[in-house]
Amino acid sequence: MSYRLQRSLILMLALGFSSLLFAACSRGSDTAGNEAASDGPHQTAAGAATTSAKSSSTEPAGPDQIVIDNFAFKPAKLTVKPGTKVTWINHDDVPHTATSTDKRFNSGTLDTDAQFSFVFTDPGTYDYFCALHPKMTGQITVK
Amino acid sequence: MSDSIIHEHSADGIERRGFLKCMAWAGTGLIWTVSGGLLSSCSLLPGATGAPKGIFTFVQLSDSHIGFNKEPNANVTATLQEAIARINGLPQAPAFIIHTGDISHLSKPAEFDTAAEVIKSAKTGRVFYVPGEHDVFTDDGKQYLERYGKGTLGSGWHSYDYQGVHFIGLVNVMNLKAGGLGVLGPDQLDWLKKDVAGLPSSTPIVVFAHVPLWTIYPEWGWGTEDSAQALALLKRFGTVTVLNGHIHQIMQKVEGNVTFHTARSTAFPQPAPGSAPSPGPMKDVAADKLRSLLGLTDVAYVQNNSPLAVVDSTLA
Repeated sequence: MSYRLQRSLILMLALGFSSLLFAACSRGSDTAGNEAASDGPHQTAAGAATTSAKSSSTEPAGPDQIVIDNFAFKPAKLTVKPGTKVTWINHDDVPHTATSTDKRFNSGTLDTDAQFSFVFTDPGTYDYFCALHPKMTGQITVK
Repeated sequence: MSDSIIHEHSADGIERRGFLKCMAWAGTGLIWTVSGGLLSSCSLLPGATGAPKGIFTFVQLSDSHIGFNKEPNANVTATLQEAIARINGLPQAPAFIIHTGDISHLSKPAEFDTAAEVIKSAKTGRVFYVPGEHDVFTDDGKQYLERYGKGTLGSGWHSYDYQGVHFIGLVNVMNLKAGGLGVLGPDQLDWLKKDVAGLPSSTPIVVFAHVPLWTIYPEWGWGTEDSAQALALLKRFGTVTVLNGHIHQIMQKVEGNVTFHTARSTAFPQPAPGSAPSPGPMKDVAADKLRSLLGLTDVAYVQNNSPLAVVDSTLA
């Protein structure tokens, strides 16, 4: 199979294992509110953000994951329950961002394999796009 | 001598009226001159690169993406250095260089520093810049303006005159909206209107901006939302040359008195519109073919009241 597909599968497996191991501890701290964020993303009262440089050594993505591939957010529309942590991961060879249109969240630069997480606590519809390639758009519905 | 030339990246599906085609031969330069909006002559200068000797010449560089390190180019600093070496080898030293943006790849200070270091060795007068989205996306252009904002207004727009030609640098990569294309914005358009108000219509105009000022392929963001307003302000001028970057390949169009031209990147090529799932870097490029897809543009102001001669050349 292609190197890219192979890499994606390995990543998914690694994340899957990690989430089994760390599910109990991490879930508890996620919804506590203002988690420390590393360089870049903005925090607001509506949720907490984390950005990681490399995926394998950080918190698990969980099932609510958006993959950035071929200049598109997949899935482009995602519906989650309040309190869910959504994670974006970039599989493209160019950097992207996940930037909300109302400045609620901003992943900052996501280079290849970088990921960004945001906990959506308030119900509503949140539009976002890539600050580098604004034709790339997505939407998170929280209800 | 041939009157018709065919471009290696033909834009299928794009409006063909006025679409100028050019022949790209690896390793040599191509010269075309345009008179009254139509191709009037074309000749290949054997073994030479660069525009004809003119009243003055300048070079357009674009999309150096310092910091990029993936396929097909692991060393974009080296290819930028090669482009500068080419400039320094031109038969007529350019009066100045225009960089149409995406100087850096991730807006990192080290990337801007490296670019400045390499470009410093160019044998030319000043270097003028307009930003690409890669230069401004992390901090709303703060770093870019710290380095290149002197003498500019707003998000970095500016104009200057050189030997009777009026040059206008526009910024269309700030305040991008979700789902949108490049955008100039009302403040910049207001400034542009005032900037050209007093100029005689015979003044040759050169406009440079990162994202193309004509709609090439909206699906990939290759266009500018409000460029029509800018072009309307320039409609009365006898010669307008628009120089853009962003798409990492050459595209050209002639419409009335306006000649549009996009430049190659010095970092990596991108696919022709619609020929790939996305506009990302072309990866299936053999190492010995890479440099034939990267390059620079030499422009000559050949004679009074005639359009500029634009010559593209590759790094190999």
